[in-house]
Amino acid sequence: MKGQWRFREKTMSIANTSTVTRFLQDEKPAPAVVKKRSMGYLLIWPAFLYVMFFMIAYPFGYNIYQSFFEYSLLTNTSRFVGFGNYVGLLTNPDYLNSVWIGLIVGFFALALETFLGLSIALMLNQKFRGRVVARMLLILPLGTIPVINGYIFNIIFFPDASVVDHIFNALGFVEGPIAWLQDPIKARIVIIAMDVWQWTSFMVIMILAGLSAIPESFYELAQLDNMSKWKTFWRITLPKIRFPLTLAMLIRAMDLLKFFDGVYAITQGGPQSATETVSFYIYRIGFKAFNIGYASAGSLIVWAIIWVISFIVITYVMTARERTA
Amino acid sequence: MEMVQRESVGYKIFRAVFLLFMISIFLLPIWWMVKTSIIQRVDTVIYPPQYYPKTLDLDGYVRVWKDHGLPYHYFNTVQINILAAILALLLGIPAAYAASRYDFWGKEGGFMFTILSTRFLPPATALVPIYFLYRWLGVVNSTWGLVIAYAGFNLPIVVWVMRSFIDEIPRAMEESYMLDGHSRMAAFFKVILPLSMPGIAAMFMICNFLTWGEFLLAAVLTSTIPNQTLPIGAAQLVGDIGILWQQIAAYGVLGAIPITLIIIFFQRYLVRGFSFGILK
Repeated sequence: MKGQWRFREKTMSIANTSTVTRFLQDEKPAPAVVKKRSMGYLLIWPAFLYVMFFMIAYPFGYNIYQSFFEYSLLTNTSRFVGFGNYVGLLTNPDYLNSVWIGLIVGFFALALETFLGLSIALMLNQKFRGRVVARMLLILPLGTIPVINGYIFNIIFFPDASVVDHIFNALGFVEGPIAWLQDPIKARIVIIAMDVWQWTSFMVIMILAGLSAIPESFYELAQLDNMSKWKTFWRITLPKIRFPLTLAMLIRAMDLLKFFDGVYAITQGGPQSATETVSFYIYRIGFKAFNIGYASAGSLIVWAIIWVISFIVITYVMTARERTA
Repeated sequence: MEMVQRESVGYKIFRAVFLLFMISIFLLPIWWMVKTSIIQRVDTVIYPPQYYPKTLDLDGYVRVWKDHGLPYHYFNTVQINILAAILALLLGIPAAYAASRYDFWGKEGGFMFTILSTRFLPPATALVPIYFLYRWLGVVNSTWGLVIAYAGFNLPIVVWVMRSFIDEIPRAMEESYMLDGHSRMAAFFKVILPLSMPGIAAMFMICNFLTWGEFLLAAVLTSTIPNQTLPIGAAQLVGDIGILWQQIAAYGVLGAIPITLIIIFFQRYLVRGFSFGILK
């Protein structure tokens, strides 16, 4: 409770003194600082080289090289095939299917996470007894290990022994067992449910951070204006939390493209590749079928998509940074 | 800040019901994990399900400790995460300092952009190259392989978030220290580092949070118990003779404890980590 208050007071004081800090920042006589530019390069290079080598140049170069070969780890033979892997992939129903499934799962998971996250955060931002406890309980899923959650969801949706079946039957929604993991649509629902369960908390704390930065005087003015609650939300709250909300949604959208652990633990891509996301497909082709060229070409196509979206995200982050700095 | 509006009784009831409903959904899998870890195996997947343990059986915990290498997995996970966090901080803090205090060509659009872009790379797409690179470097199935990889995952976050911490230290502080005749290097160690210590500590915790449960790379890059991490240890309990639910749940409970403590005590820094230092 005490920590809570301290946090609030601090954000309050930051909000109220922002003009003062801006004034102080404008005062800075900085020429001495920016003089030795070479020093700046020197300091940023280690980190830059590290990500450049381990995460960009090497994986990218390797993927490009291998994507033109038919290289099998099983026979250890390599044959130049030109654009054969790309043509093969783009006409391969399994690959296109995995992209499509990623989009469906991602869309529904993101929509649900946003809706629930926003609702929960708005409520937790109001004053009521027990909200500190409620907030603590509602972020607990972030503390668990994703792949183990997958196995726990496996128990929860276990064929003929599912607790969800039991609850649904007791409430009278359905009659008898539900074949969660044998049916393509229902298996996708389970995958989405797991992601929503684990990551709604992320949305909640991002949006709460945005909400706590709105000065109370805004709401007081709205009240003086006799603005309805609905109008207050659209005119004041939503514009003020637009940045954290958009950022959280973009990050989740990108992370959903990586979705792997849950698929691995719950369905292994089944039934009949109904839940096979792109990450899982590349893993299967590379490390189960040992078809390296195919996996490389598949990775590069995903990268092309990722780089377009991440360009948007990072540009957004950078403009927001400049505005808040 | 808070809404100081009058709330109708109907809304209060709706809010209480909605939040209680969400809390019970959020807690169900966690409760199921705790419960599964302390009941007998025959009671785990039965219909109708047991909502609370009717038998108490701590055999799962004993078995993971004695037979399945939990001590190794735990120690490895802690060791790898700590080393990866330290490596990322060692590389990241100078970069963050440069980004905060210097102005040079290509800083935003080149360096900072590229560094952050790796945050969005799906590990699966770099899996094959990384595997072959690590085999060439001789770090497959070793502690260092995962340390190198996880430090790479942490680095973009460290650079961006530490920059926001250093931005908050007024330049006047190091300048006045330098006016006393000290070098910039001395100012970095005597002024910037001590003042950003809380930020560094928080950053260290965020790094541990980010890579603690990583599964895909650890699954591909490690193959023997002395080098594996907790998530891999748990996934290995899915065998031909059936799934050892109790033991998996025991891994889940024990593995979740440190990370849960981090999210509870470092919650407001977590937001900063998630938003690359922009939301405070």
